[in-house]
Amino acid sequence: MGKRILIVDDSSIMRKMIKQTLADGGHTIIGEAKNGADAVSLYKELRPDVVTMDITMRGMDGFAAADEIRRYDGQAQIVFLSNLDEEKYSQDVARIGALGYVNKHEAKQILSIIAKL
Amino acid sequence: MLAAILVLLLSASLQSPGKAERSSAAYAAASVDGENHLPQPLAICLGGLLFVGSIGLWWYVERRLLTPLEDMAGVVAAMSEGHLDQTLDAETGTELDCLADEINSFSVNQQEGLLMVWNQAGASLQGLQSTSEHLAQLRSLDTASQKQAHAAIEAEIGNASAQLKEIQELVRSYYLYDVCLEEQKAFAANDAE
Repeated sequence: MGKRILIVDDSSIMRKMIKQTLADGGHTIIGEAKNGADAVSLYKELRPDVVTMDITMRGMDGFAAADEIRRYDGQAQIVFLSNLDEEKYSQDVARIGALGYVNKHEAKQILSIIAKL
Repeated sequence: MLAAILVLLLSASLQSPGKAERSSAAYAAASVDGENHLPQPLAICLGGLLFVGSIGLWWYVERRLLTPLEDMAGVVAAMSEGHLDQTLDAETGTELDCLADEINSFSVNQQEGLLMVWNQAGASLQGLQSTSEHLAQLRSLDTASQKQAHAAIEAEIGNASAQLKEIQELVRSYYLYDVCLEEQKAFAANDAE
């Protein structure tokens, strides 16, 4: 069964590509946020099953937004989706308790992560 | 603003010593025969108001529009030279905030696209390097190992192809000016088959 997903990315082109990837996987996009602050308030409003979170965003970045979402809801399911090197940020991902980290150039891997839920 | 200054000067000149009496008489005459002349104190007040209003308007336009526009032009010029690390201030409280926000979004999209290309190119290069090493090893292998090496090479070529197709998909996400993308080629929009 498809999940209800909130996409967080400051790039409208990336949001469009991620949306297509997730829709092709049978999931429903219930909201889009272009920065960390919007991500937090949309999460509280929509309560998605999964959040895809970019890291580098102007204003509040993805790690700060994920921290705040997890403080609000300890059961929040967050997958980081970024162009940055995974190895360098794997500790932050683990600390926050995210589901995983996917590089955007292999975005389809996110479907495998979500399928395990 | 020039008109305001002229009215002020004219009113001031009418108040100069020796002319005050004549101007008062003229005022009285005008009042007696019903002519519709603007009283001098009122002219001075109006001139002063116009002057102050002009200064205020100039200050408003300069501060809220001209200076922010100049700043924006500088940042956009830097962005056009590749400085995607520049950001426009979109919280100035002026009408230009929407424009600044959209220009920032444009810059963000450009950066994301470039990073995707960077990562895909890196992964493809690694795959090609690995393929090259397998090819070099092929000569020294027995038949069964050669088959395995061939399979590994085909898998790496498949991966590199998939990565390059992702780059093409990224490019297809954009709407291009006067360019049409078909198969592996780019055409001017009027020339596309």
